[in-house]
Amino acid sequence: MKYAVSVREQSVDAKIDSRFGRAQMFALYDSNTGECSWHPNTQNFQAAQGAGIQTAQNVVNLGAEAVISGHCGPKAFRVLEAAGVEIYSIEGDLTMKEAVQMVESGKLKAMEGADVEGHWV
Amino acid sequence: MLKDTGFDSLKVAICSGKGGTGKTTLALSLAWTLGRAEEFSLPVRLLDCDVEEPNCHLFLRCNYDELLPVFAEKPVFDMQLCNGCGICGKKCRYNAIAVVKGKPLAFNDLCHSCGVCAAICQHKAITLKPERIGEILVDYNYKPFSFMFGRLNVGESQSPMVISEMLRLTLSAGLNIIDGPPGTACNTVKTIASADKVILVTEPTPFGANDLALALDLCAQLNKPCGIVINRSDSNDSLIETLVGRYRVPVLGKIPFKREYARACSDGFVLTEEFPELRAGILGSFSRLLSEAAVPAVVKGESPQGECRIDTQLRSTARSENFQELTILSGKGGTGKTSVLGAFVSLADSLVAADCDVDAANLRLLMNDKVLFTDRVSLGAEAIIDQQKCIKCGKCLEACRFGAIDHDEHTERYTVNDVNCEGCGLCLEICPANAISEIRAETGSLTLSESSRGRLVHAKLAAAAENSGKLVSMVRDLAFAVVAQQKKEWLLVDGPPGTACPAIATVTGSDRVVLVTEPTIAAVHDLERIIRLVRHFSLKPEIIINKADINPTYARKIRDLAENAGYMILGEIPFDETVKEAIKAGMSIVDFNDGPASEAIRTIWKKIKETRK
Repeated sequence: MKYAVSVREQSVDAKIDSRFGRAQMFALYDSNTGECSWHPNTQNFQAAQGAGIQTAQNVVNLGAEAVISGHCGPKAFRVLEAAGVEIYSIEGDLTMKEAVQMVESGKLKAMEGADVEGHWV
Repeated sequence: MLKDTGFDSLKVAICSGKGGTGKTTLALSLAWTLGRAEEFSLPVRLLDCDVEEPNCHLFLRCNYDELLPVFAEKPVFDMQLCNGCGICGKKCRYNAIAVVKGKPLAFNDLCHSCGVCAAICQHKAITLKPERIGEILVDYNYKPFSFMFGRLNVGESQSPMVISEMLRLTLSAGLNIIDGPPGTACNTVKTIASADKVILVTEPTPFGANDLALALDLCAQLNKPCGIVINRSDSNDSLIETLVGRYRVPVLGKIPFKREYARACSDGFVLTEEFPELRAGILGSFSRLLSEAAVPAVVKGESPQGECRIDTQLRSTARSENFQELTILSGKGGTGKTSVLGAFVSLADSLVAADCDVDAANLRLLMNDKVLFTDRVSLGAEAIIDQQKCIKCGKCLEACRFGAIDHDEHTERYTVNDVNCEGCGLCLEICPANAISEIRAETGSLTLSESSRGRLVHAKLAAAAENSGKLVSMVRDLAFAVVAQQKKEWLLVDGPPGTACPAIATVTGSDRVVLVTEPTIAAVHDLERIIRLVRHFSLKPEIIINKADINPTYARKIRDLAENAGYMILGEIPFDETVKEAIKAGMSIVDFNDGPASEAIRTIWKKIKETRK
């Protein structure tokens, strides 16, 4: 499984960035091969809004099959859901590896609805 | 004096840089007084154009004759024709379309109805269909003036469209009094641009003066004659008088500060209806507006000297999470948010402060800070037409949905109107001569400064600029970097008024949100809206009731509201005259004295510290 994990820095021991749309960067981690690559979360600088939507598209384009982050808003959720990407929401101060292990061991269930409501919805 | 006013139709916009200065109070009093005045024969109409948080109707007992829905065009996809190429998503400047795995998804609440998607789709798969975004309620027969107010549906971003619709309903023979939105952003620009004359309401405090200067700059830019009304006038009026003297605009009148006036407003009464002694002053102010209003002289402000050091600052720092971010919000402006946060800044030992009210930042007025550096910030774009290449076909003028292309009939030149341009990019796409390009628009500046209490990050949005939500995010990002670098315990954030994009950008991801409210009919109305916003971010708001003793009835309403929802009331601050004196001295109230407000805030801060997560 290919995971896109929002992280605070470029390191295998990086901790999860609880923000999705405005996360600093994403680690793309392949749990089958153990390969990991880092991708800064670049946004169209002209856009004042829709950071989550754009990030979700970027993550889909990276080829991620699942996303691990803190909170994922409803708009990003709609994009990820349409692309068939699973979403895992993590609470607390975990590292990227710990988070992936939790998902792989089945301790964390994929989300069925956005946990943070965005612009009023 | 009012008999020969010399006009059949007039639009007067009532605005203020700062929220909570008495804009609505003045608009209502003016409409009521002129509507009844024997010496004024024209019909009067009051239009509440503060469509994000309309309040005027709370003071009136209207039976609405008409409810006019407001529509905006949004994209609809024909999936038979769409091949999922994704160009619409790339071209949409508002991120309102996403295309993943060949499927287009529209986010209509982000859509600005610019029409780019339909214009550029090569497969003709997109059509635009009207969707309801808000409504206008009209009472033509209200006495002594007709009344209407606009309301944007919660979740929609196109407030200028509702305002435009309202402005079409002004009296063609009569006086239109327009209660404008606070701040200096696009809604205010739209309102002021449509008016003949502008009244700026302010209060004699450094905060009021600071924000008034911003509003005056905007009137100068839009070339609108204006005059000033000083609300809550007291011995400090010279603060305002000196400032407006520099801009060469007149002070039209003053409404003195009295506790019974504050009380009447908080209960939802129109001031001049309750207090006959104020009527002559209001009439006099209006008469002076007609004869003396002047376009503000341009006062040269400090311009930022930036070397983009902020970028480096942001990148060099790894995030640390050992601090707690405490955000202060209020919904309604003028409830004392900044005074309370300023006191917290004095009481916390280890902190960085951030002012996210980018329309009118004034926390620094309490911090006596020294600027370390300021960067220009460019977030938006504006179109520009190359006159050499332009073939004068007029297609841009025809296509632009924001009225942002001007055509000079003599020279036949087409030019872009910067104030109206939303930067959607449609004209670039459709120009057959490729004569239109984009320049980055300067939308503001970002500043880091140092004070004896700690560092402060603040920003200034250029008048009429967009993207305040993005600028707020930049303020917070810089503050995160500074607080991590300096290993401080607290990040104290002063939020913007309202519930729109800048407030959303301030709350996202915050650890703790404290709402400062006051016991008035308008503040309680707005408190309910801001609570909804905070809850949407899975946060439990904590509440401070400021000036708690000015209206026991509404204070009880706030307590009940909090108790029923299970929110903690952190404390109540009594009304204290010396708070204003502290602001004037450029000090926080806790440094200024040990009076009742000061004591109450100390107790509140202790409670906040004890419950630190």
